[in-house]
Amino acid sequence: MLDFLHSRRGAAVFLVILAVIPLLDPGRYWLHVINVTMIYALVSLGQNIITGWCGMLTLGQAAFFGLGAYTSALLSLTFGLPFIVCFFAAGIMASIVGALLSLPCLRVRTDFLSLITIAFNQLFFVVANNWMSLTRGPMGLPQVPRIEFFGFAAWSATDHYYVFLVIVALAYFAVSRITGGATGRAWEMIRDDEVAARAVGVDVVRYKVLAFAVGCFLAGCAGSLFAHYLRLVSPDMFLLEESLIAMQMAILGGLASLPGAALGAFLMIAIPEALRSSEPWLITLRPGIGGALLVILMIWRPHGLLSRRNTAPQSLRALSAWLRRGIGLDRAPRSPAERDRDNLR
Amino acid sequence: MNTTSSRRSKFLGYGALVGILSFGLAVPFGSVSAQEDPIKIAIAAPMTGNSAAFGQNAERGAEMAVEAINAAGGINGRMIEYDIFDDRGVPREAASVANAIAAEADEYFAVLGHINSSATLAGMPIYNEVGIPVINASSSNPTITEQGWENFIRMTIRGDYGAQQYSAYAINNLGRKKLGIVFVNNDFGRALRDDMMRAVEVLPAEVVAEAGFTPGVDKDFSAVITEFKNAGVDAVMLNTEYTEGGLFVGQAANLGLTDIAVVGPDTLLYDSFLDLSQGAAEGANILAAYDPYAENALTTSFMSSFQERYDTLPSQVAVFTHDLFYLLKAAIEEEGATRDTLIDTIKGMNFQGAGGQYAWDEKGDVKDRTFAVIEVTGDGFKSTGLSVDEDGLEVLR
Amino acid sequence: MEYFLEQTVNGLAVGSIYALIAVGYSMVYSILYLINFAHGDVIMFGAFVALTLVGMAFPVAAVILLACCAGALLGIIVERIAYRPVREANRVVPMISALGAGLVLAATAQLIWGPEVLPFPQLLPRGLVDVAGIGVPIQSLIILAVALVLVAGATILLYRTPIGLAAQCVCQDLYAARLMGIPVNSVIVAIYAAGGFLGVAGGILFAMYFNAIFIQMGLLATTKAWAAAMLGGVGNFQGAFLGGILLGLAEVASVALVGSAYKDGVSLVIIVLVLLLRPNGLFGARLAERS
Repeated sequence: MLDFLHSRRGAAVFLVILAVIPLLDPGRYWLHVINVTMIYALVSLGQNIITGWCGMLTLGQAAFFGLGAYTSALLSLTFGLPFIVCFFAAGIMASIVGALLSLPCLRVRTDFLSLITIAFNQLFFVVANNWMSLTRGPMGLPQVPRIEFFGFAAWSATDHYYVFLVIVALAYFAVSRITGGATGRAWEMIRDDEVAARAVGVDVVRYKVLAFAVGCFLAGCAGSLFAHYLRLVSPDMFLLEESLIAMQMAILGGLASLPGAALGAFLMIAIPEALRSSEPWLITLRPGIGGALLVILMIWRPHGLLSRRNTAPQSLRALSAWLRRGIGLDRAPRSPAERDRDNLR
Repeated sequence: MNTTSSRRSKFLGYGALVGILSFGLAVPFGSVSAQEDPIKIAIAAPMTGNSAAFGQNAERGAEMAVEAINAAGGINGRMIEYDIFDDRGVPREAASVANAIAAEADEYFAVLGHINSSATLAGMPIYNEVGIPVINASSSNPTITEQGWENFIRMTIRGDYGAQQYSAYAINNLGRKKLGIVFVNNDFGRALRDDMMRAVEVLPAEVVAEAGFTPGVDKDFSAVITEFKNAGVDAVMLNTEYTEGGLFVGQAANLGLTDIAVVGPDTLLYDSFLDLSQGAAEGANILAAYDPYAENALTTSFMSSFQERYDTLPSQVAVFTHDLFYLLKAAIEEEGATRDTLIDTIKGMNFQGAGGQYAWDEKGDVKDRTFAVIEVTGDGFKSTGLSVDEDGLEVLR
Repeated sequence: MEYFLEQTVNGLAVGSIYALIAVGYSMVYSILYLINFAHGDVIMFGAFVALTLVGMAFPVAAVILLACCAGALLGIIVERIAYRPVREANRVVPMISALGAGLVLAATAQLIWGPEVLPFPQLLPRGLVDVAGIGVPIQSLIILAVALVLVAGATILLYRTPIGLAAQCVCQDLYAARLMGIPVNSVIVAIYAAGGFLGVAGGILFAMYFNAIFIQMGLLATTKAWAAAMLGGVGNFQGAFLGGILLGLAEVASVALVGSAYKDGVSLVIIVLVLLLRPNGLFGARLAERS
């Protein structure tokens, strides 16, 4: 099953299924949910490159997402540039800033990188919220132009759906090429053993910066789509909480797994939507239920649902045994060798 | 279906797994078949997140109004039902909510919402696209009506007009000269602060210090208070919600910033403002978009029954949400409004609700409404009956 | 000058609260090297428990003690449910499950106590005392004293008691510690309990000083505590304590010099700059990267 999902054939089947969904007329609400999911699938993919493949715990993807959104919205609002230009400008902008940010902190401890990216996220929010003359501060930028290129303009949810589907499919294809090649192997080596990677001549700094550049490029592009889709950009769309969500997406779906990145986005966007209800107690519990799911998933499959790195059992019976051991009913400690095999860095 | 409790779960039908396996195919069930179709209203409000308290007030206002209207036979015999959609006060979620409502636009007579201005801004393009009327209680940001939506009216007074009034009250009525502005750094507080700066330019006073803070996070104002003290502020303009407003006033008293006037909008008009200020709010002036202590039967009966039921003061959101249902009733029963003519009908109406007299202009803003000056006394809020001295504001018109 | 001193006092007061929370946080962080996202929510929950106990007319000392014990208990529960089952996985995994546990705690708290910011009863006297011409709030002095006592207690616990020494072994090598006969599970439970206990003490002072208790103070406390612990240096209580104080001073400085709207951004940037110059924190010992 996992192998099929990760195969080229699996991707093709999935793409065909996605392509026919609008024909089944699911209604604009669920189309919207999938649209947002697809945008976040790009963010999640970017996070997955940095965290899943290259093993760096970045917690500031929302800032790059926002940077892309603001870049794109401002370029099109101020200079009237066409969408295509704004879209790539957004990606490139986020990519450059991401690479620059990663430079000073590559040689230090992983937590430090997390803290720096959190700080960057806060700083981004503070600047976007206060630089009135550029960003209109907390009022945000309303009436961002629609997505338009080569004479095509996206109006309905279905229009957006197909635009996003093409972009996301292209991005996933490109990333699968990168991660399947020498670059991907270098990233995984750095993640699994940085010293060994250096010893065999991998240029660690270069590959880490590259991971950041690609990951942030995707986040920036997603930001551009988000801005032109919602037609509104405001600072509170890019808070630290959103970064935490992006990280949860990458991890829940499965680290270093392309379908995992997409599934993670779907879980984090669609399940809360499905739980959106008018029952007051359920509304209050919505984040709590999401939290409980996180805990359970982490116990069940610590590398994420679709990661092929899981050694966790997949049958229900084995799951219960594993859970029992996890909760402490069975005390069969795993050997260091077992642990080392499971561990990422 | 004509019980007093007329809310039903909207998305319970979509289990999480159903969503994953067949997200395209899920169909809402539980269609209503009464003799007379109910009038359904979609309420979009933050029920969770940082603004959840406002959503709770909207729900209470709606609950009171709908129970009373339904008990008295509904609107032309039709019961009112409402579904609450939680937007968490966040634009992204507001867009989701708007799409959810738009997907069933035919079911709903109107949308009541959102609360936060940024959420309303995110939802409006979607509501406009499907042509559903939007009646809004408390989004005060001027941008909304300046965008020219034809399916929108609101009950609260625009923020820019409010800011002028607050400044004029502190400067003209109270005779203060050195203002210190505190603002919550979101669309609500920032807009008030900017318009206040403009107003103070034409009035004989100056802003000697200002401080913005991040909503929902900052609770420590000690550094700001020391700065205000140092700058010789003699009037604090509180452009905040009641929480931070109350905390600011309380901490100011603790740090010895006394003998200052405190002026703020009706987001402070909550019992919690008094509790959080630990008694230091006494003497504060609140300019409310409605007068909760007005001597008229509608207002007093609403105030007392709300107080009795929930043991707290109704906020602006509760009052305006409550009035919106009666406005809807009046528009349909007395003016014969349909879904398509609702907004235009309301714009031509003169409506008396618990929050006073309302009339609207072409943009959908309320007109000719003035602020009621409420003072905090030892045992709660009191209406002063004063009106704002607008001397000097003419140039801004 | 007087202005400068008054602002410094403000910074010290809020800094000592951060310090207290950071010390509790640093318990788990320095020994298990885990970014415990549930810590803040444990603190929040414990502080709400204190609020309820006050409402039930318990004496002040009992309130504080019981609430801190509730915090310890919550810490144990979080360890059991969200940490132990994933202890052996990649270190990102316990972080995420802790985040999940934090969300559950926050939702539960909101269900019980509601979403509103509530005033917190004043268990300690308020007012200003005159110190060299500067009005210093009494509560700030009390908070500073409590923080000092607790950090001293925690240091003794960690360096002078058998369980503390066992905890240090666990920190160095969990498997070797197990082989040497150290009851690893119990030690880790004790660490979590102590972290929750200290954290709630900080949380109550936080709620009291600002006269506000609210659900979102959980995430707020976690980020502040983590930043303070990083600034001071991992694995070092005195460092976490001083890091908290410095964070408070940095916040006040950014309000006074740049503007309050920039507070959170500026103080974090200061920390990042410090860490760029001293990657192990101001007072941290050199630690090898642990996998």
